[in-house]
Amino acid sequence: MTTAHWSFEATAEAPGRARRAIGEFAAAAGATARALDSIALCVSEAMTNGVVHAYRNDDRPASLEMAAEHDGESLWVRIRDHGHGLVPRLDSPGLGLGLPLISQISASSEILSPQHGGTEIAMRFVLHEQEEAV
Amino acid sequence: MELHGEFDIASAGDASRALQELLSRDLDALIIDLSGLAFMDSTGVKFLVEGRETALARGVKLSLVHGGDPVERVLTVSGVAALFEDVDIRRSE
Repeated sequence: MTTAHWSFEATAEAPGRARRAIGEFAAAAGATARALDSIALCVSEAMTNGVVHAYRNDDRPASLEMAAEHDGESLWVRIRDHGHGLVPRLDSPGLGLGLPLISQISASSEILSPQHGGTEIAMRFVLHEQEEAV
Repeated sequence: MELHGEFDIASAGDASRALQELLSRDLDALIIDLSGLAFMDSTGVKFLVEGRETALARGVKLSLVHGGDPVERVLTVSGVAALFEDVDIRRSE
């Protein structure tokens, strides 16, 4: 099992930085182009969720943690914030599509509320994912 | 309107302002070219949906030039691709 961990400042640039980091990790693990696309989209949605929802009432510097591991067949990614949890907001920059997209694109996913607060989005991907036959 | 690079929360604000500014002009039609995008997430979906709403309200014919696989996939999975069936969708060369 190969593992890695990253920490990002919770800014608008965080999703892009996380995509590049997980892309390198997944490519080194042998992910297909299709799997790389899936991982990039889901990581972007999860990180955006953290940037938008986690710390909006705080002035303090905030971080988003990303951890990944793979066994050569599957790749697991966990993205965690330390904010106030998932709450609706009317001025959301998305259409509420982030979590449904993660559910559709990843092999499996779950949203956790860790004991010490915040929100964790856990996702699994198939490294050898192929495009669906038409 | 041509989009390049990666469309996410870092670029959504600028792109939306540019699109809304274009749609405020006296246009008959506007083409949004997605073929230069290497990546797009749901912030891009919102950008297109809002642009479509504004275009419809102002009588502007909105067309899309399709993007690559990552862009098409997010539009399809989100169900938004169907919203654009009523506009003139062109295929890029």
